[in-house]
Amino acid sequence: MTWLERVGSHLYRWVLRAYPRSFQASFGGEMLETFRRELADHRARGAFPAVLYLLRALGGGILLGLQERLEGRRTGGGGGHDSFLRDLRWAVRSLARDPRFAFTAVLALGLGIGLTGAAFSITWGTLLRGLPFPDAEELVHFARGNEEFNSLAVTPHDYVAWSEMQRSFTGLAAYTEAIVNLNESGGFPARVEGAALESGAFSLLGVAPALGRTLLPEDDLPGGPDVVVLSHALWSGRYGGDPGILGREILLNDRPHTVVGVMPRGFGFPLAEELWIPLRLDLRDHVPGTGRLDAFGRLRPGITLEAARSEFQGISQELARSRPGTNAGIRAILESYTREYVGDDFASVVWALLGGATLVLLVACLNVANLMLVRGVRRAREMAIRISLGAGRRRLLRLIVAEGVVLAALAAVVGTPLAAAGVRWFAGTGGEPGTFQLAHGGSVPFWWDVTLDGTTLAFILLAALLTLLAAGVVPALRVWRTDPNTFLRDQTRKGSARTSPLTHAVVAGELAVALAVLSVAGVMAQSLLQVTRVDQGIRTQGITLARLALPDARLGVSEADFPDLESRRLLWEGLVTRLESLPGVQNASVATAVPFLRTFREEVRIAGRPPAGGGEEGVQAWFGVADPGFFHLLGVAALEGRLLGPDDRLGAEPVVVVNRSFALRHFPGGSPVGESLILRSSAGEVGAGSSDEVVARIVGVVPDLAMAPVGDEDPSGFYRPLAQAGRPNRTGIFDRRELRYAWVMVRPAPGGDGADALRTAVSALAPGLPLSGLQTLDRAARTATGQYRLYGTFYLVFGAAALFLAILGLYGVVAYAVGNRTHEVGIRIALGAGRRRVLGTVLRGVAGPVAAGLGAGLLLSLWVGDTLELVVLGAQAGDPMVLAGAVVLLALTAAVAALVPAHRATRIDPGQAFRAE
Amino acid sequence: MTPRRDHSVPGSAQVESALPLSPPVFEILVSLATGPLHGYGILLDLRERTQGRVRLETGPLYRHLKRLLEDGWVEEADPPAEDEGEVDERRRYYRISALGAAVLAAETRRLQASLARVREAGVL
Repeated sequence: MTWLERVGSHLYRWVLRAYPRSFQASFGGEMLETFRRELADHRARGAFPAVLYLLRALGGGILLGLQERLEGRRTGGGGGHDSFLRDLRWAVRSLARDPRFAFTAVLALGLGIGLTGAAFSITWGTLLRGLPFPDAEELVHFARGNEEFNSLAVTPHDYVAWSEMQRSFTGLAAYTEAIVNLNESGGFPARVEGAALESGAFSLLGVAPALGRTLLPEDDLPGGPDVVVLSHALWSGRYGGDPGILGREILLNDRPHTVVGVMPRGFGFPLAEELWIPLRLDLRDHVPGTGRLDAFGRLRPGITLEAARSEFQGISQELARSRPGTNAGIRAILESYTREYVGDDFASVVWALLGGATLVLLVACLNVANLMLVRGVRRAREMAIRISLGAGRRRLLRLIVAEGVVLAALAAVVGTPLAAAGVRWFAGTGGEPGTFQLAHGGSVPFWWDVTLDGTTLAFILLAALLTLLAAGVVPALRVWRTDPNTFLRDQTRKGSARTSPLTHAVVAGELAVALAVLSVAGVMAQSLLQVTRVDQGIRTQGITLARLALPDARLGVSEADFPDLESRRLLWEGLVTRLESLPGVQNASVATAVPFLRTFREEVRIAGRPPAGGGEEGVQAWFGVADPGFFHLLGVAALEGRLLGPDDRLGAEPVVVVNRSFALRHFPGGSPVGESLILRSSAGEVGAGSSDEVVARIVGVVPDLAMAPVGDEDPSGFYRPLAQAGRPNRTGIFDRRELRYAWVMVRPAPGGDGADALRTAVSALAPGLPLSGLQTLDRAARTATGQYRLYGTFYLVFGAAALFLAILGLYGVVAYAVGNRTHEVGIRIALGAGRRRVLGTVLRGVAGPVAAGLGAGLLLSLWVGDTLELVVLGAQAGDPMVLAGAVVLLALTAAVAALVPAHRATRIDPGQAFRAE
Repeated sequence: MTPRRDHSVPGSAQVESALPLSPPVFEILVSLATGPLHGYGILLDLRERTQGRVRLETGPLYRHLKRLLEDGWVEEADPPAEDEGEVDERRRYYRISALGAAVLAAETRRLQASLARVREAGVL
């Protein structure tokens, strides 16, 4: 039995208790058995249908069981629903008589389940749903690790050795990114992200093409045919969904490839790719210890990830022994595929969202429970009378349940649009590539699907119903247990019902949870403020930019046009000259690291300093190449020293400028200007040696220009002049060294069109080459801060909701207490008690629970802050200022919520108070 | 408990008053008319016969079975011979009773009559 079936059976057994005992006795065992088989049938069709079925069966089981209980005996004919419908009608009438209660309960609960529904949809769509393939949880991603890093690329030699040695997987497949210039005769060029992969990858994933075929083993052979498989989006967009696409030739990096297949809609393996070509892995092309691949595998049925990890531990040790030169200290890193790509950072944030929403739901539930308790006390009299007049207790219970069902349905009606709005907003903001910094870049994984679907709606309804039943049962039990006559006698003698200790406890609990949510919201608000400050100092307005990539010999493309570094440098400089000569352009610039867009880190050493740890390691810093116009375009002045200038050319002294964070981090208290950086080749590459080192003098300090992703803890970085960049005579691994790509930025003159200018200049100087990522710098800035705005706003909404609910709860209780004490207060006032004194008495009544709630809330806040591991920027969970602020805010609103009804008490006219009795 | 009604002689008035049948009840009776089945077997038969067009889940199935047993349209049956080797006390078998068969026949006649009227009207 699988995990799902075990848990499912457990839950279903519990759900069966909703049925009357006699029903359980006759059918319980059979139903469980049938449920198991049905679940197994659905499981065979995939995890998703199985979970859907499970939710349906559980939700439906509870409702049917209750219905069976309510109906008790069968009333005959086909109309078994009649009596339940009658109860529902009664419940609606009863709620309509108390609209304030109904409105408050529905609003509170709707708010809670709306937020939880949105958060659950996000969690389900991004973390839980997984890949849309059969048994997708068996897919495992491979990386390599050493003492320092956990995410090194897999080398071809290791990959082949692993494939031959391993027993845990039905197979492994290697892949790597293939970003290509796509064109066809008579077409316009486009930059497309694809993957080169082994033909076995498709069958391991368990996915069939929508059209034609996927890759075949013969495509994989050296010298095999140049074939390509297209994504559904590329096929339906660029090629208009033409069914005659199969067999057609298209150009990838100027080389003809035959289209052999189209994948189904939504397939974008490994992350968000649009075409697939054969990898043609040949070990003879690679020196052992070099090369970069990704790899994944499918676990054999019954083998756990843990077992596979321990097998690979052995394999790694064996390789370290047999190949000490390349594999000493190297481990294989195995991780579930989706977890690898989504990453723990994102997952922890999403769980934090769900956690926050659940806390709000908890506050809402406590709120409603409280309202029902209060109402239950008021209605206890009515119920006791009904019982003494001969109404069955069973009937009263049925009425309470019916009321719960009606309220739950109404709350779902309120909550669903709220959840839909949250989901739409997430899909809109989060659907923008680059918003989330996932483990493998900013692309939106193809398996994400954040929608408000049946599962979520079922979840919402179930949550609402369980809450109301829980809240409705307590007052019902009170009636159930007491003897009606005693109850009525006590009521008459006391004259007024006191607020019960249970009510006070619930209020305290509500305040405690609200405080926890508020304190987290406060931290998030701080972080949000921090984010909005990030872009200060950069003149982003009006700038349009796009990326241009030059053909790449590694993908077998002729690079006749730009064969060497010098020709590429000339192209970039020529582009800027051409752009600035266009009438619609004010100025232009070329750089590899532009604000808010992803760049890379580079290892450097600071001249005259012993490397950290005594080894060869330097420091990691964000790195960009920029032309002289770059800082001018952004409106940035040097904080110290000078900017990069037109005289910093090849042959002149190599120079760099560093950013403010670099200066503060590595030259605290001093000035970096005049010091030197040693730029090294990256470790482990063929031909790396000291002859490649360049010593560059630091000539200036510039502000941090958002080189690092927003929120990065070490944003230190530096820029080299475009004219001095590059490393002749070496086959680099990273394009940036070779000036193979750059961002081209223009600030158009008033009335000019930046995008037009970019297209004009590029088509003149580099015809046939595509621009990609065309956007404004403003948009890039918005996207880069998107995830923080998203989390921050969600939490602010949670905080506001919690605060609102706490006010509602407290107000309700105080108003009720005052209402019940009308008589007493009237006597006091008649006897000459001052208004102030009356006010004090009323407030003292709630001071206890408020203080207890805030105290417990403080402890809860600290615990929640620790547990949620919030991704926050410039703020700390459990920040005393934030906590203090939240406590004060809540205490003040509590005071107001209590004062309003208390104040009303002082206006009581004694005469009226007596008449009311 | 419900007083047991005498189901041995299905009066036609009693049968007529039960019509029309709800779709799930009709389909369950059709499934059982082919021979004794256990609960899961009914679901399988239903799925196969209707190609998934009539969907019934575990909870509703047993509610209907309870009603049908109470009304005497369905009765418990001995497991069929081929299953006797692996008797599982959690798995009960059901078969259609004489009354149930009469109801099913009446419902089928009613449906036929409806269909005939539609045809006569020249709609189909």
